Amino acid sequence: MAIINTKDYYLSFCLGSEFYAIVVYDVLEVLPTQIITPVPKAPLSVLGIINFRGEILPVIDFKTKLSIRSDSDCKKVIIVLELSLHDSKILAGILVDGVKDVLEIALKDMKHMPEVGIEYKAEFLSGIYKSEEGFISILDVNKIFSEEELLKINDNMVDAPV
Amino acid sequence: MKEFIESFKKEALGLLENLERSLLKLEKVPGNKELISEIFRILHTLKGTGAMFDFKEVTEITHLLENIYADIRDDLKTVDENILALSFRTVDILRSIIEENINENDYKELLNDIGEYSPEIKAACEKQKEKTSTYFIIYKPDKNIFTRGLNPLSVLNELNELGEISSIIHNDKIPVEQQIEQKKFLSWWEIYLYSTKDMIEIEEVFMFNFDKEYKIIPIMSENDVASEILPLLSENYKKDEKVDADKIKDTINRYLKKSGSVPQSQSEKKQDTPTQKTNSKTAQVDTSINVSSEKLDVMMNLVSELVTANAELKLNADKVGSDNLDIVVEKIDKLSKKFKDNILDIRLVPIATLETMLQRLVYDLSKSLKKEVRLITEGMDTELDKTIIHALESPLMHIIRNSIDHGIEPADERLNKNKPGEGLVKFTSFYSGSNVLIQIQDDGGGINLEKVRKAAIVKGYITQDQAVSDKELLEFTMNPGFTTSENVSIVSGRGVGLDVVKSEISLIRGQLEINTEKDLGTIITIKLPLTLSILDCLLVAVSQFYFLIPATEIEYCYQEKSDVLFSKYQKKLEYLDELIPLINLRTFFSLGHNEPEILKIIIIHKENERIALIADQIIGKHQAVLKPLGKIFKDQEYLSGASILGDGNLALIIDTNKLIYELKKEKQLNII
Repeated sequence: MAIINTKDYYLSFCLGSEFYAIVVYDVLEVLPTQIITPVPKAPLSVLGIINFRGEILPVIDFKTKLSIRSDSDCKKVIIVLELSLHDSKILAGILVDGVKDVLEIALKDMKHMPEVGIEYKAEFLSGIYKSEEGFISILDVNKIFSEEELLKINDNMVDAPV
Repeated sequence: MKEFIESFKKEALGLLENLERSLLKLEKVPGNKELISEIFRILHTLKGTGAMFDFKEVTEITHLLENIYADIRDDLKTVDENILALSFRTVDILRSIIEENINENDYKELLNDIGEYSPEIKAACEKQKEKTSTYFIIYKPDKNIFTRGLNPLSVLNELNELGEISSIIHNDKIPVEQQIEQKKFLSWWEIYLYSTKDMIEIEEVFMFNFDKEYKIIPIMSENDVASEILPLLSENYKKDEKVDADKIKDTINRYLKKSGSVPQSQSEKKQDTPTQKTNSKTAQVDTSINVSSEKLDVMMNLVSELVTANAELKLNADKVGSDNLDIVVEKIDKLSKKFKDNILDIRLVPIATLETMLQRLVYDLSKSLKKEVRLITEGMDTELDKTIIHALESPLMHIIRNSIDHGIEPADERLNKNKPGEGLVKFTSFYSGSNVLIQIQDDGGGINLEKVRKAAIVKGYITQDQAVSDKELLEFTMNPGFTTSENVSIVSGRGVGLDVVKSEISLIRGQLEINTEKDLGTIITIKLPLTLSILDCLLVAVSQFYFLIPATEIEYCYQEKSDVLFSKYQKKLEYLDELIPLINLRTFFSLGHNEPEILKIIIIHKENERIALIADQIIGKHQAVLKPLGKIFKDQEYLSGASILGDGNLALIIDTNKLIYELKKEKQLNII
């Protein structure tokens, strides 16, 4: 769980041309890209699995997951997340278009976002922060990976407007 | 100190397990000399270490039992039911002492029983205690003795407490006190002890010393012969400084012959051999240590990382192209692979570790229920993860209890049914595809389905004249609180039976199945997943992806040209005059289109169904440690998990069960 203090550290990364950030407590490690073993008949957003410290780590294409459709030239990396789901820790990797920075963001600087005009569910978003380079959307990965969401992965993808 | 006590406890529990195993074997072959001396040795070690850590009860009780076994060893007694029963009780009591939940009454009762069983022993050992003997001791501590935290003078003080001592010190140019200060010890002693204690008690003084540091030579003479022998002995050392035990013995013997008293060389030998063996036994125990499985998990993960890092290193070394580097990389490669294999191996324990517990249970139950029952085991080398084996203990005990109490009939009833009077419980374990199966079979009366039916009606599961299959009836027996037993026995029948077993088994993701046949017996099958157990697989490749197929299910492999293979049918294959379903892994898992000309065909045979899988390449055998795919893939049907290959790559384990099932479903849909 992200502990919202007055001040927190966030890891920012890009997805296409936009910037996003997640709280660093959820991040375990950032890995360079590697061969991802695809798992047949898996949800669309699930790219496959990799060997992470001797365990099987599922890797999720974060852009597909959040229905972001744009390409970028950034070098792709895998962010390994440690999430708590019903008191049990699960590990998951997300593939993003490159990690940018670790930012210190004060709670008061985080703005709420109008719910209109975003492609993904507003509840995934804990706020928005204006940096010198532009807006950074701060995501709540625990919500994105909550159990219900895991189950809904398929439906979401089918329903997403093309 | 607390740490030492903990390690003593662990060691003692290990010894008790060995003791129990030996006792169970002894029950089968009561005259086996080797087993008897093994038991004697274990008891002796227990007594010694117990005394060291101030477990008075342990020492007391093992001492008594040890005496009984000493008599057996010396052919003064023979092993009988009573001795065995006492021995088993001792094991239990000792275990409770060490685990610190001792029942005082049980302990006293046992002490009494052992004492009563062998009054002559008690008397004998008291008598022995009154006898004074002379011992000649050479004590030559290692010069680095202080680094072990020992003070040689304390040994002398302790000996002084055992009886009268006189000693000669050698190499004492530097005063002992100064030597202690300089942390380098050079002196040594000849000690002469006149004591009522026996050899074993004197040896205990030297508990912390190495064998080579001391030598105890008993001189069986009632008189105080020291004053006469000492000068003779010290003459030896004037010539050379070496401690030569044989020479000393010689000198003593020569003296005693002269003086007319004969040394009891025979008894000396006897005392020597067991002590030496005890030492080697202790060394054996020390070679195994208990490690928590979490530590092994951490290690396992580290090794997997090492293997991955190593693969990367190899790749980069290839780019550099230095021969010297390649040699080192090759070395590391081999080492890390060996390392990985070893760790894998450590985690797995053969199911044989449960055997002692099971044999003991059957022994106890057959005695308390007065039924002759024999347990035979098969496939005890089946390996399972230690945690699974541990979790199996309690359900297995329950099942066996049920078998013996309810299943196996009393001897006379069995004879009437033309069965041998001795009941049989058979414990079998084996691999079956991606499962380990454990079967407990008894040749008893079987579960009375009529009774089950009646009880189910009473419980309200079914109505009076509802038609229920036998299988469904057996399912009821696994419901909480279900019992058919009219009179509850101490052993089982209170209705907390199979439901507990079932829930315990399902905790380790196993399944329970019951088969029963009237008058023939019952088979209870526990089906365990291979979540952590090793699975022998065939590793195949399709383009750059790896798949594992459980080796036990593979019937045949061959190769065929692609155009020949698909010329007639797309999804069928002719094999042994049969048309069997064909799954091309490439198309099934959508792995691209670059199909090679020659394809490998793997025929899978399972439960009377055959299917053929097609891959590009067969790489070889692989011992897979199955890892679950995790929550995200929980709807994943065709894969039972993944395994990390030696080079860090991942391979998916194909669940042939599901594939066959899926094909069947498809077939049905096609018909409709």
